[in-house]
Amino acid sequence: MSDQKIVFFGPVGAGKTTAIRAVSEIACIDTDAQVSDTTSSRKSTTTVAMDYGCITTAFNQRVHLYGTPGQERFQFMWEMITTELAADCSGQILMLDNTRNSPQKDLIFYTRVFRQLAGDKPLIIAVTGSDQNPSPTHAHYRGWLAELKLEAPVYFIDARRADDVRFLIDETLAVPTLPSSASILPDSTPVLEEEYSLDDVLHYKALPLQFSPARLNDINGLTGVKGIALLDPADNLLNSTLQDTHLDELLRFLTHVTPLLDELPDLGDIEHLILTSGQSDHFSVFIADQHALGILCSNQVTNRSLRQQIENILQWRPA
Amino acid sequence: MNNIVERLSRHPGIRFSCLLKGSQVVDSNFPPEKTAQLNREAEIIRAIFQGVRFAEKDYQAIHLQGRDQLLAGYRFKNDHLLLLHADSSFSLEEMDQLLHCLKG
Repeated sequence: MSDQKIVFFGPVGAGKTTAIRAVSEIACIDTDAQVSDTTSSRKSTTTVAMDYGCITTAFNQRVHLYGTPGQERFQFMWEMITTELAADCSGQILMLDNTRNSPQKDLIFYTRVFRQLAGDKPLIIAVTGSDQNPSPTHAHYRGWLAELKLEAPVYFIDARRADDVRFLIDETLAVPTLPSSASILPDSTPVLEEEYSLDDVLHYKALPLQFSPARLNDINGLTGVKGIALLDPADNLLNSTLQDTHLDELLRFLTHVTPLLDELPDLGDIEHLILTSGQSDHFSVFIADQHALGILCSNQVTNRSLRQQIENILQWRPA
Repeated sequence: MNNIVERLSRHPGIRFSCLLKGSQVVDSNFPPEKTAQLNREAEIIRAIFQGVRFAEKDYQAIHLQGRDQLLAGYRFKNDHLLLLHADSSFSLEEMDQLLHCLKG
């Protein structure tokens, strides 16, 4: 019996753990911890180290399945899995979630990072959540992959269905079996012509991040967040948990800085700005949909970690 | 601060950097066609630092993150300003550590 390895990676909540559990013939080794960062209404636990499962194919291959944590702050585990545990993997499956605001951004980010770590392993894109959000479509993904100069088939799957996941595994191992599940739309499936509209691909717009009250509460509860304030396009204060002195500082900062940002057209739309000092905290401001969300953060938490946690909270579209 | 631009250029993720003293460029690897952009960005970053003087904190760095790239400004003693363009995924903590080492 030969041994093969496959790595599942992608953003938090895309279904990596679910997929491995759906097919593993052994009790999965997982390292779930209670969610403390992303919206707890979305999922109660998250992988903090890795998932591991095993499956035997019809060709008597034992396939070891490794699932990486989605959060960027666990990047050291991405490296450990891709360069050590599964450095000799047969392929990678990037799982994307169509219910997040910008699957394109996720695609770009995760392919870039994992290509850097693992090189040009065979890659398959598995998209979940298309039952809730049909767009982006196959055409979108194919257009984006072409822009990235990546060749990878795209499948829309349900990570809870063992047949769907087995199909992905077989595809990754280049075993030409067809799925028994009708929900799978392989890359070669004929797609309506209008789905391939170039205009459609070029003008796909991710939905803007949304600052709903429930999400603000989630952000305010993150470790390292000392307070938040939300301002509308006219700089009216919509919500604040900041102390008056901090709020005053933020408002003065934004009043001063916002007009200046318009004078930096080469940078494109600025989504995030951070003002740091040698003090114990700093301001991090997210700009979306012409609203500004100011966050007073402890310097004990890295910006990278905080940014990804906040983006994860804001990514998912309302249920 | 010597050779800071050259040393930063070795770091993956950093596209261009420029060290200014006042409005004078001390060292830069911004391409010539980006000179106007560099001057404008330096002016804006200076204006931002100038504008946040009201705060009790001594702000030393600002990072402006666009979709594809990051513009960062670091203020140093003796009116030095370091500007850099980096990939948007560039780790700011990594940058801070790098600058700390370079300054040290």
